[in-house]
Amino acid sequence: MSRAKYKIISLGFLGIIILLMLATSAGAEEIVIGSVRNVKGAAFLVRNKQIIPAKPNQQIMLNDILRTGPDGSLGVILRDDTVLSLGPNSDFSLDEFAFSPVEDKLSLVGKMTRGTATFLTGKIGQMRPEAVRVKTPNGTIGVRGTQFLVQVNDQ
Amino acid sequence: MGKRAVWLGLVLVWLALLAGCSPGSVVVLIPDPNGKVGKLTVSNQGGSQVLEKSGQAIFIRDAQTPPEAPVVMEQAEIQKRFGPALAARPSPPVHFILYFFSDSTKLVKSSKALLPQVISAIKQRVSVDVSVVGHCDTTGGDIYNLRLSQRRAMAVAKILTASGVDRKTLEITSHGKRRLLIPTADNVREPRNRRVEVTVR
Repeated sequence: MSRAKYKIISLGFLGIIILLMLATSAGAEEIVIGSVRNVKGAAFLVRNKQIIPAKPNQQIMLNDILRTGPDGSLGVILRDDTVLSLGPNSDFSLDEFAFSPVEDKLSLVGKMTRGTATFLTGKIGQMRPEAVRVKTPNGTIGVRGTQFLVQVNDQ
Repeated sequence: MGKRAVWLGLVLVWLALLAGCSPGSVVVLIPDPNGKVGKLTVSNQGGSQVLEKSGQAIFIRDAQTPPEAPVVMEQAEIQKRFGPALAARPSPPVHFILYFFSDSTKLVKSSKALLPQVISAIKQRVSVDVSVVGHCDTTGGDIYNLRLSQRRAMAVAKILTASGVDRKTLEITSHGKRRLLIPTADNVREPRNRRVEVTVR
C-alpha cells in the first residue's frame, strides 16, 4: 500500500471515530430520566458543567447532578418511579440510569458526595434489585428495597 | 514552653474540628409509604453490614474501616438529621390502567370513563413525565401483538394530546404480550391483559 493511500484510509477512520463520538455524546444529552417535582431555596441541576437553577416540572437528563445550597431542598421522580429527595448542601449524581425492560436494560447507580438524601426504590429495584446501588465516599449501599436515608458529612 | 503550649493548642483545635465534622456516612433504613421495610447491604473495603429492621442505622467512618454494626436511630434523631430532605419528598407517581376490546384499539366503557381522571391528574401535577405503555393478551403471534400494543398506546397518547397534554412529556412504549398483568398460557383471551398503563410522575 502506498503511503498516501495509507494516510487517506487512516484519516477516514479518524473521521468515522469522531463522528461516532459526536453522535453518542449528542444522543446522551437527549435522554430524559425523570423530572423535578419540589424545589425550595437554592437547588440546581448541573448539566455538562453548567449550573441550571432547578424548577418544578423540569425534565432531568442522564448524567445530571442534583445539587442544593445551604437553604435548599429538592424532590425528584425518576422514570422508573424512584422517588429521591435532597436536604440542604447536598450533591447527588446519577451516574447510571437505564430503564428499558424491552431491551432488558435495567440499572441505577447514584453517587452521594455530600449532604442528606431520601431514596425510595422504583421499578428497577422491583425488577432487578441487584442493579440498584448508591455510592458514598465511604462505602456502597446495595438496595433490596425500599426506602432509606443517607447522610454524607464533608470529608 | 510557649512554643509547646501553642502546638498543644493546635492539636486540640484539630481534634475538636475532627469531632465536630465527624466525617463519614450514615445510612438509615425506614419503611416505605405502605409500611413495608426492605433490606440494605452497606459495604466498603473493610467489610459489610446488613440493615433489615425499621429505623436501623449504620455509621461508616471511612472507606477502609469496616461499617459499624447497625444501631436503632430514634425518630427525633432521624428528624434532626433528615428533616428538610424528608419534607422535600414528592408525592409518589399516580398509576392508571385502561382496558381495550379484543384485537382492538377501542377502550372499554369503564376505561373511557376514567380518561378525565387521567387528564386531570396530568394537569393537576403539571407533570412533564408521563408513561404510556401498551400491552396485549396472548391471543395471536408475537409481532402482531407488538404492533397491536403499540397502536393501543398511540391511541391513548392521541386522546391525551387532543386534551392539551404536550406530546414531549409522553414516553410511549409497547410490550406486546411479553408483560402480562394476569399470567396465562399462550393463546388465552384475557381482558385484563389488553391494556395501556399510564403513569403520571
